[in-house]
Amino acid sequence: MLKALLIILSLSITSHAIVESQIQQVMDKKVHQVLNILKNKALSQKQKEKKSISVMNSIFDYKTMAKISLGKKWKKLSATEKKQFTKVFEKKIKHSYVDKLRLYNNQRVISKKLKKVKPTRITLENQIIGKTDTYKVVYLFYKDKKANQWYIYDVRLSGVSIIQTYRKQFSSFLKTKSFQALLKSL
Amino acid sequence: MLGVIYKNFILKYPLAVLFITLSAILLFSTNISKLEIDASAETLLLDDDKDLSFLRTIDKRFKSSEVLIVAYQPKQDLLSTQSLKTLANLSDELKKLSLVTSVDSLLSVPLLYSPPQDMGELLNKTRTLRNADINLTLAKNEFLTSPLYKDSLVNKSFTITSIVIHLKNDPLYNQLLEARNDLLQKQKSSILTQEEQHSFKEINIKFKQHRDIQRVLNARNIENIRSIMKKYEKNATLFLGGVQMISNDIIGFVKSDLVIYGTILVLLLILVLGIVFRKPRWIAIPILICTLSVVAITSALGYWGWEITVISSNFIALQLIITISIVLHLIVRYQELLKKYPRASQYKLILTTILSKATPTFFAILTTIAGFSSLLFSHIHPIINLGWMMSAGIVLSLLISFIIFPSVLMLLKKTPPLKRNPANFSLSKSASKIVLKDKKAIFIITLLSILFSITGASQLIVENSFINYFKKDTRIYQGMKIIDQELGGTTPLDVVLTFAKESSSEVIEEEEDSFEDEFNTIEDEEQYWFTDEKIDIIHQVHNYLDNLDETGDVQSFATVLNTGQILNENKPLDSVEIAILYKKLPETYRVSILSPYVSIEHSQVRFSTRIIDSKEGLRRNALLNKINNDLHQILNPQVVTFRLSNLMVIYNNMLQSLFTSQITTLSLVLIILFMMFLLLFRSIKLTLIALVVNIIPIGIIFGFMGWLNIPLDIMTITIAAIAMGIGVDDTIHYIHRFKVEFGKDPRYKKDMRRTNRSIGHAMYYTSLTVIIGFSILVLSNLIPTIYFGLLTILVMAAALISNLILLPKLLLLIKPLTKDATIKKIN
Repeated sequence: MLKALLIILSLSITSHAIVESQIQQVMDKKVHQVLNILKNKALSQKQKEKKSISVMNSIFDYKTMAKISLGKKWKKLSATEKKQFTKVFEKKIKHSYVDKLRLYNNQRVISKKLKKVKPTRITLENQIIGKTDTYKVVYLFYKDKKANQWYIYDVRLSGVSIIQTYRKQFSSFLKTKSFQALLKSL
Repeated sequence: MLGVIYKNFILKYPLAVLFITLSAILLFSTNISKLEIDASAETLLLDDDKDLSFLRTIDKRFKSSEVLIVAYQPKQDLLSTQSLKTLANLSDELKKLSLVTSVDSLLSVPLLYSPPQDMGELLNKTRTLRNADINLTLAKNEFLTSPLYKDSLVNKSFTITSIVIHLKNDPLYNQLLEARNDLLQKQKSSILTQEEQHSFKEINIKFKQHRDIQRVLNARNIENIRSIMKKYEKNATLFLGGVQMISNDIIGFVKSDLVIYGTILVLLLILVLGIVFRKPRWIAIPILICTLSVVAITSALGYWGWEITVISSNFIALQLIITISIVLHLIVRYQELLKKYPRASQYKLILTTILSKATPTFFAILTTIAGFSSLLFSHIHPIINLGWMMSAGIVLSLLISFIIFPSVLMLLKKTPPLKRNPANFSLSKSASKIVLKDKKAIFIITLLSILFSITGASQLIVENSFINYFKKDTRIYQGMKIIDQELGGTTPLDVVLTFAKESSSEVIEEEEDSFEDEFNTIEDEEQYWFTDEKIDIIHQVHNYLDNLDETGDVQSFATVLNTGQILNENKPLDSVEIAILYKKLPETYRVSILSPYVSIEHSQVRFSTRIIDSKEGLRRNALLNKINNDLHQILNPQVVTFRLSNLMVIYNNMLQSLFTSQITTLSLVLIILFMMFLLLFRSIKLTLIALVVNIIPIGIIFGFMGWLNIPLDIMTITIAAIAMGIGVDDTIHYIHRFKVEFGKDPRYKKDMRRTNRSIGHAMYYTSLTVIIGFSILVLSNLIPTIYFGLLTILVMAAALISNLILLPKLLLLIKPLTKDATIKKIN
């Protein structure tokens, strides 16, 4: 089960900035693209990782993710610090993604319907079918009003928000340690 | 006044007095059936122990239950069909007992990587040894390597496995205890209303009744478990262990010791009395008086509902000693008068005996009681009880002796005094010689004794090791040792960490389309509790505890995480994975693997470990202090606070407060003795002499315990009080007699000889009787009983020598008496 969930995390990071009407379609395509990369026995593990990452880069809004994960602390950071943090956070997410790609073991992915929670939020639920169980994964999109584009800002696996998990980590870390220490630990 | 009572009543109607006294005691003796011996932890706990209420809270919060452990060592291989079949039958039978909630064994625990499976499969279907398709080689490997099972469920050589019997919790016990403690707390801070007083009384009665019932049920449960185990002894060696079993068995041992050694002790007393006094009456009267005194006091305890605890279990022995001392002093005095005035009537002899012994005996008893009354200030329930029991027992002994002795003797005819061979009883005579001749030797020996005491006492250890209560060659010791050393330890110790609550994020002004609100609403959900920081701390503390030499099995959330890591291809689970697992975990797993170690609601985690009780050189208090200090170093108090808990802490608290109370009460006893001696002797010099003579035997006892590594534990801790009781008795009798002799003829050396010849004999006989009688205790299987016997013998001998040699020597040297003053006082 764990493996399956980790795959979802990896797969979920493989989408692109999209307009509302195409979210489901693009997501389906991207997910299958990554699945094909993973299934391709001609590729080495390293190549698989590199290719999968390149598919995902544009739709994930790392800056927003970094900002949410830091919570109130974000506002107190200087522009340089924000940049630094976003950079290491992006690296962390990617590293974790690469790490979890290894666990892929021919699970199937089924895409469910979109849900518009409010004008600027959309959720897309996917289901991962493993040998013994089915797991739910929800992609959370927000609308960048200026560009009229939608970006992923969080993924929820079996009810666990990835960004919230980091938020909690960082807030408890920053209670006793400095921001620089956090950068270093990441 | 006393003379009038004896003349007009006791000596006038001896038969009636005897009849009334005997019937009264016999009638009262119906209360003996109400007497209870309770060695359970409850009787030893401090009323206001904050660690105890913490333990109760933690037990409730983490749903932990008391366990008994059966060590199962089959004759065949552990995983052979026969062994597993026996194990299955044994576990099934144990499970059926009414006080047992569940039984964990090799057969019931989940196998997680035999063979390795996907976690989804694991969570959906629990595999155990009972599944038909299990690969036994893989299973064996899992048992030997899994952090969940190694060194606790099976031993390293895979020959023994433990069967863990979970016992039913007793919610009524906790309910009643809480209700009682609430009212107790209220009583301390304010006055209870009439209604509250009434319910306090009622709760106390209910609580005691409940404990009485529960104690019987627990004992029966252990008996049932043992009889089930017996059925399987053909196929395997089986041992029972666990704290409840230990306290149950200690009661058993104490009771059987009481019967076996009590009987032999009485026979030995008869023998010694026979040899010393050579007349049936001098055997019958002391034995009758001792019996009546013990019956009377045990009936009184039953009547008042005072329980005999481990601490007070020795009080009957002390009462026996004091009673023998009273009676032998009377006999010796009577014989002395008879020898001196062979023609005097029985009536006259008895009256003079009683009247001349009344004052010193009364003061000796009063002083002893005053000494014991200091125990009332100890604030420890069983010690306070001991103070009351001792005082009540001694008063009863005094009354019974002074009624039974004269009335029985009045009914007997006067017989001619024995013509003794003077060589036979020469100790008191030799003592006189030593006092007169060996001036230097006495002081050198005294000085050496003081040195011995100080050096020994400085090595004295305060330890309470249940496993060391039993001789090493006993079966119970061997069983406990196997469980202790090979299956994870004995005394439970918990470490509870409380993480600082994370305050909800401050509300900050955000733009309309903020993510903050969205995430704030979910941040308190339980799955986000497992942050990397917490996980790190949990691993750190777990590893710290696991690496201590003194800890056996350590179980905590880290054990679960380590198991998860093995399943995750040996990569540690990060907080996202843990959160997902937490969300997906079925309720049954949550109850069995999370609830005992994690309480998200209270932001607490619990580490459950068992201390290896039989570890050589284990110093419990030092270990607890070390853990406390080390955890202070490891943990940042801003992030997490910690507290130690469970029986290890509770027993240690009790023992440490016993020890401190021992020191404070001992000093209080000395102050009280000083005042009593001053009141009695009216001379600072005599008072100081008497004190020195009494302090030395106590010092020797502590020195002896220190040098021989006998720990001060809940059984031996009362020995100082006993030493004091015995020593004071001798001193008062001696000085009283010396003053009488000095009044007649103020020549110190001659007075000393005469005193030694008269009162010295009584002291010598008393000591001899007790020493020979108590020597039988050395054969007991219970180590504390052996120590008690040994120390009693030692203290009797030390007190006798101190009073027969040092006391007269100091009297001769300091010459505290003046002729005029003594004569005035005697007149």
